[in-house]
Amino acid sequence: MKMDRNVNKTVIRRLANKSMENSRTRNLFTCLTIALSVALVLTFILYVFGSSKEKLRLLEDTAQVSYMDITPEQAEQLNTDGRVKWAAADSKAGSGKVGNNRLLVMYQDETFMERDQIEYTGELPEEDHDIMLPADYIEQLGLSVQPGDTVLLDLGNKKVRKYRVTAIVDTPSKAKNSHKIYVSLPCAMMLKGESVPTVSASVNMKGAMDMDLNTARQSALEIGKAAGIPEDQIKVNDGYFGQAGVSRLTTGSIITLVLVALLILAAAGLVIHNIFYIAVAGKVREYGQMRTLGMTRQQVRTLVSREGMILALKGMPFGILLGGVMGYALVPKGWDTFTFLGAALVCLLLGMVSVGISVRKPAKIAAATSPIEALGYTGYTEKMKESTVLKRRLTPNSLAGINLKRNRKKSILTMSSLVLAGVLLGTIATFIVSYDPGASADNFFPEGEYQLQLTAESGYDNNDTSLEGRVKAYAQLQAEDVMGEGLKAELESIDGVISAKPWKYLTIAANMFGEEQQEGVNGFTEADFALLKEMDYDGPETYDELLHGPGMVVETESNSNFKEHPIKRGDTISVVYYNQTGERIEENVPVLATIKMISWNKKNVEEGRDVRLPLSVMGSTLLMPAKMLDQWTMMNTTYGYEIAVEPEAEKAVGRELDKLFGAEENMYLSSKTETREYLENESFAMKMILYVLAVFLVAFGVINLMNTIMTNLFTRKKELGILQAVGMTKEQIRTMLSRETLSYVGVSAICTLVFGGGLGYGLVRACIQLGLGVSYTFPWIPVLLYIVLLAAMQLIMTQYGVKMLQKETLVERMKETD
Amino acid sequence: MSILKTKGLKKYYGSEPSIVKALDGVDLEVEQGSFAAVVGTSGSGKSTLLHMLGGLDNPTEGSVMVAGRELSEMNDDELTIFRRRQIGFVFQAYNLVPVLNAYENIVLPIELDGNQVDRDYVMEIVRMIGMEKRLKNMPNQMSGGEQQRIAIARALAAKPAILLADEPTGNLDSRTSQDVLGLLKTTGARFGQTIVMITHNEEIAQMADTLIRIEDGKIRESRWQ
Repeated sequence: MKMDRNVNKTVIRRLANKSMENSRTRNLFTCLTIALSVALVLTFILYVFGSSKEKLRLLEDTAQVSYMDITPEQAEQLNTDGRVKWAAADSKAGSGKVGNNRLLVMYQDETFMERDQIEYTGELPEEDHDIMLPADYIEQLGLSVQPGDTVLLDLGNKKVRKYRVTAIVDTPSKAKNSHKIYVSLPCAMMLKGESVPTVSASVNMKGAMDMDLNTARQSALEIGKAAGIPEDQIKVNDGYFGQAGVSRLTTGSIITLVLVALLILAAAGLVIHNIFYIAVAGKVREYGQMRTLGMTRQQVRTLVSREGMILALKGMPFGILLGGVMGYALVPKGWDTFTFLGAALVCLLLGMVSVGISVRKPAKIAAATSPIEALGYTGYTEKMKESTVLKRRLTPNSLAGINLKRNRKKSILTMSSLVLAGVLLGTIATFIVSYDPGASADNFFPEGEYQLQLTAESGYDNNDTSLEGRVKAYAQLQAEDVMGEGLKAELESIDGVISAKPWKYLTIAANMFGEEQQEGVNGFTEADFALLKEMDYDGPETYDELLHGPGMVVETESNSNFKEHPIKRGDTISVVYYNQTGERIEENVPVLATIKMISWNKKNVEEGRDVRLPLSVMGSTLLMPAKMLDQWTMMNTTYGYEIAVEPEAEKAVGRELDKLFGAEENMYLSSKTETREYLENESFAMKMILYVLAVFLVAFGVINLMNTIMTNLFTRKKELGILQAVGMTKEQIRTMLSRETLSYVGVSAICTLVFGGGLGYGLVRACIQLGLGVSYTFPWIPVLLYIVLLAAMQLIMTQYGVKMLQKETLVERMKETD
Repeated sequence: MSILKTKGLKKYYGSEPSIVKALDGVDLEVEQGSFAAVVGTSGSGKSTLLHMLGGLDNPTEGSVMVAGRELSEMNDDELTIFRRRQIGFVFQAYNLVPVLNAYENIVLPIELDGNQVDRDYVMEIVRMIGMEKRLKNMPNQMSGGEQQRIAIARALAAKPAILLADEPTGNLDSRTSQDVLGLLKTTGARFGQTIVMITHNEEIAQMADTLIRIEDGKIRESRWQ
């Protein structure tokens, strides 16, 4: 037989399998930890990729180009263009109020109906008096209508006519008193008083997701040209291309994902390392015996490593399954099977690597065991030295403290895992409970729970959605005094309304950066002027000086174009606006003053000042004294009202406001509560994923604690038997074991409270600097739950463990392997 | 006066047809202050007998009385406390607590009882076993013989009614064995201690006052030497 023969993979495999059979607890804990870590990493990957995918999918299906005022034939031609994914035609006939309902009357072709997911029973309207009615509107009218029936209706243009109902719309209307009535194209023309049928086509271009704005514009022009559509009738949706960029995964989000994955794997790796470390420590004599019998170091190392890999392979499929389910549950609309498969593969590889690294050190320790060392091994790994005192206190409590020092590394590893879990829990939980996106709603509603404001929803007469068209439309509404004193009185007469505070705002076209753009001018009061003067104000000292003539106060930080086109006091701005008589005015308006609102906001955040901007100052680049704004335009430029209500009457006032103004075509009602709810819903998925992370980290800590307790008991069976033999009662043993593990819980609790709380506070401060909606709150409930969970776990496990030990007799336990 | 008495003591393992009768009706009496050696071959039941005498295991049948107390009438905690106060053990494998130094191991049963240590008494024992200079050493810093000396001191420290020694020299060389046996005898005589020692070695058994021979779970011989 060759002396150098050392090929024995089969026996190593058999030994590993045998060892696995005898280590069920260790196997369970290890598999559980691996499964949870893989599940968590996979969940994060699927959440990040899925969120992006969801947004991109929504965008993919959105139209990027509008071709306006074209013929139906041109619309048809667009549809057959090879560069077009789909084209849908519509024509807005107009809108009007009928009773308490607002009716939007329009023509939409079949493609548009499909895009809008409108379900109906019957046929699409084709003839000149054909219409489709929504089922809920029919119910409101108290009618009984079937497809094919004829009805007499006013469609909002104050004329009652006979119409043939070709279909009933089954899809519910979005609002209780606002309904869409679909009519045939000839009917729409008739309602608009037009003889030549024109439609607008919304087009989705092929490959638009990969286009930048300029390429998209070029492509849209070419498609339009082929259909004979001139440039001024083509409008590209800029916002689409901005959003497409934002929706894709950025380098930043990939880096964040990698960091989170590493954190999770590190936390899990620590637990697995500890589990194997304790397991190896408990088998030192066994490894020593194997070495005595001729097993090489490499074989011992392979033996331990193999056990780790087997457990990894057993645990990971569960992790993949769980992670897939959680990833789908968080972002169902972003699910992509290929992404899942790819991510699963990555997680499998990461899992194998992580386990390999975690098990490496314990394997090395096992391999380094010498036969002689193993024989004398007692589990007490401290250096051989005399004790400094003759006698320490020997109560169960003090024995617990002495036992913790018996294997410092094990104690430290267990403590580290629990501390890490606790600190991360404290930090994450602080952020979750402090994050209050709804608080931003308070900023948007500085002085009231409701806002009623103008909106240029056109009637039957004006469909001009160009820049000038919008400027004119808003001015017309203000000229008609839609938001006048009469409305104010009406609002304040509602039960529960404390006040209705007006704010002034004028829509204009202004050229500040080389091309005309829609802008708004905020009308600020004398009280607001004091606030403006805090914002690095450069201008006349008093409010009265600003009233000498029309002039703008310009906020020079809110628009990035100011970097290329800076503006200073004394410059002029070319503006277009409409006055009370409907006259179009073009004027060069002087810049009387400049302010820097962004810097001022930042300074407030740093100093911890909570200052709410009034609506009269918020959000505009251009400002003018309110009195001057009215004088300049010769009309009341009130744009909306902030409605403050008594707290107990909030809901009732909301209902009354909705009843009075919900159907008004030129008014838009919003509420602080609804805005808050919307913002909170938006952050729900993000909070969920953070909670999942926190829960998993806690699970890792708890698994580690459970493993430590169980191995504490079973590796010290003999020693505990000796203690019982010399007279330590079961209760004293239970107390001693309990105190040992309570030390872990105690240290973890302190670290969670101090470091977790501290890091959490730091994180919240950082978020405040970034302008996120956070308000520091200590996460008492999650932290206390964690501490209680650990304490309960250690109590239950100790009781259970001592009970398990008693299943063997004292004599059997004392006979344990020497 | 008998400090230790058993009557009809039986210990059976398993069930028919493969029942193992480790003890099969043992009647035994040990006088106070005497040194008794229980001798038997491997599997004779001697260790089982020691476990019964020390309340470490429950008999299938029969009674064990130590210092006038019937062990079978005690529950687990009462038995543990009784062992702490009335029974001292010396094991073959020494069985010192590895995290405690020599002195702490000696006084452990007393401390578990919450009692004050009689330091003079303990130091007298320590001097007798010759371990004055090693009291702060940990078990893994001591030889087998030294550990066994400490184990003897621990067994004596609480002034128990009886001291039970299970093959106390089983892991020691002959010279050390002689030392340890001598110590057992000397300390037993000095403190009037009743000692019951298990051994398979006839020569060692000769050192005792009383020889009890056990075979197949039954006492075959009991005589003064």
